[in-house]
Amino acid sequence: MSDLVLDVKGIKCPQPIIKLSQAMKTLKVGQTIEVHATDPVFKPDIEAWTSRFGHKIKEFKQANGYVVAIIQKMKD
Amino acid sequence: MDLNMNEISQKVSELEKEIESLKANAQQDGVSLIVFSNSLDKLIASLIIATGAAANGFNVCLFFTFWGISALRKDSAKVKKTGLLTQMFGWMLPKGSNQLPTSQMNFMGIGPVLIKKIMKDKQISSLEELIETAGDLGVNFKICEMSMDLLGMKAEEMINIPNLEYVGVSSFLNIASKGKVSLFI
Repeated sequence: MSDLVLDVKGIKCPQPIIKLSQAMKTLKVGQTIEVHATDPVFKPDIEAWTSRFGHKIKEFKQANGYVVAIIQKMKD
Repeated sequence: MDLNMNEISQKVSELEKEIESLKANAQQDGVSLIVFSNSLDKLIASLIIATGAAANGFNVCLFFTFWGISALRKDSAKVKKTGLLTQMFGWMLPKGSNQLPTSQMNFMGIGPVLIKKIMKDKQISSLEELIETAGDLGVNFKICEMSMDLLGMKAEEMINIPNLEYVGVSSFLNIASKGKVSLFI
């Protein structure tokens, strides 16, 4: 189970990343966040975002009409 | 040894100074945008890039110059101006983000209405929301004082944003030179 679930379904670039970066600040290193998104560029954008900050995408999967990404916070 | 102690300590202090100035001018992860236009579409693009960059941990600076400045005016501000030409500019330029034309397909003001409707339907943040988000994310808003004065606009007319500052070209270049990304919009 993830430590936090963030629903960004329906909203578009750059809002999902902005919401994710704000939510990430509330987590401790090692904790995970589960993000639900429908933005078509969510996958490439979180890949770029996590690689900038050194966070880890533990899982990326399709759900019914949206995608789910589980990201682990690696650094403060 | 050719060097005596005095010369060595002098060299060390010279090197220390050099390292300090190198550190001060070191490249940071910075994005700077010159917002020249007052077209709604170009402002939306600028603010989307700015907020996205801030969320990605970049140090972001928006430099508003010439027509771009009118996007930051309050819609209700009444400021006394002297001189016929500056009064005319004040009257003719858009008062704030709600009055901006689009750079294409403006259709005498119908274009912006349509764009705003489509953005709302597609749940894309409005320009006003983007400006507020940018402020919250610590984006630095800089206004070119020279062109603001040239167009007869005053600081009292500008909306309240955190990190808003009136600067000149040297300040902007100092910030821009430290980042790797600079865009003119």
